Amino acid sequence: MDYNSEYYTSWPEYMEKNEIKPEHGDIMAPAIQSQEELMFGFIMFLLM
Amino acid sequence: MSDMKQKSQEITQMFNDVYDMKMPKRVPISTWTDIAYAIEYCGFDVREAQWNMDIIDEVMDKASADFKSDVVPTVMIRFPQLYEILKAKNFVMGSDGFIQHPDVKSLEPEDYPEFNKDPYKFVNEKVLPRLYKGLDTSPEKRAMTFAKAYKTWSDLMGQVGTFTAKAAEKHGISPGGIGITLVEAPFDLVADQLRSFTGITIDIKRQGAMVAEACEAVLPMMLKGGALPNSNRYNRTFIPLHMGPFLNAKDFEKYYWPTFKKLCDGLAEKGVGMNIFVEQDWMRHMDYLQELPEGCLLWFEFGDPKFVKERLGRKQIISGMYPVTLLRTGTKQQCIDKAKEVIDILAPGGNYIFNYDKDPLVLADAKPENIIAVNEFVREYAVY
Repeated sequence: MDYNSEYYTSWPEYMEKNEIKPEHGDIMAPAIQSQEELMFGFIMFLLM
Repeated sequence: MSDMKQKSQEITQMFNDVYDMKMPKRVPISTWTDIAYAIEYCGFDVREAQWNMDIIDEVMDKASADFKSDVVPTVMIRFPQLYEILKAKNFVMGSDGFIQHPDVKSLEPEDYPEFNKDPYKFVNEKVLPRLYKGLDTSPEKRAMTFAKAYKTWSDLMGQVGTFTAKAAEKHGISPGGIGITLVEAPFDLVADQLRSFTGITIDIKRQGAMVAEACEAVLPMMLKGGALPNSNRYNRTFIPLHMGPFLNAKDFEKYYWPTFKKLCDGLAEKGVGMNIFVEQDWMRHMDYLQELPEGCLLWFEFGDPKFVKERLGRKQIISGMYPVTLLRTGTKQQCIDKAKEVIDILAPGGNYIFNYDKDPLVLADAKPENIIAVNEFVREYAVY
């Protein structure tokens, strides 16, 4: 289950909002979504 | 493959055997010191050394060579550069150079309804600017400060990872640390830097339902943060426990345990191994710890080793309960005798990793010669 917050965008949500074609999704995901995940990790670090 | 690289892999395999609940060749040694301890040991000034990653590289290398642990025995995660850029209130370097964690508050009692609705949003909008003065400014300046902080953190964490891998391979020890990520029990997260130790204690009495709701609200954040793409039984998640021993039985059962149990169950379902630091004395909560999923590593600070082994030794991996205070005050022989006593209780049957009850923080906390003597003894003695 993807995390749900106004400030976090899962990859399926990103694809839908930005009209990414499914055939491009797999190529783009490692480059784009990894930054969302790293930012989440940094913010958790700042809280602990 | 070099001899030392092969040795490093063999040592790592001993840890993995334990995480698989199999009998290793001998008891693995996972003894650590804080980076401040290692800096002092290497003869550097703690205030200055933490700003210089070349010195940190040298310190991690020498500690790995000298301390005879099976892991790279020190690591740096609290960077003064990061906290200076952010103008942090929650991590502040003291006059001795040690980075202190003052009791801070970033969530007001009246904030609970908004926080509980979307905690990640609330953290970004309101908690971070309250903890970090550098973010309490105009949106433009905040964005620039945040970018500098993120870049600093990312670069320095990468460097520390490189130093760890290099030291492990050079000295034939495991690069595996206490965990590849860190999360907190939901109650601890709400208490620690959000409401503060004193604030949460008052909230339980005045608005307990809001506290319980907050713990449920932050649980998904902890489940997400605790399971990285490369998390598994060997790449484990570290969970330091704080507030449990300070709660009475009723409050523990009502506020602390339910979401902590859900966190552990949820991570276990994802195949994530957990290294849990059981801070303070949890002996009165042993019935609860028995309910945790199988294969958790429980690193106990205080407690009765015989009681712990009897109650948890078949289902969980036990660690800790060797008193660091003895390393400060005892002779080499007294320290070795104590290691033998602890090992004779906890090692039989496996599911055991040798560690102290806590990390020595500064050089005054433990004589280096005692650390080395104990680790050398465990290597020789605790063979299965």
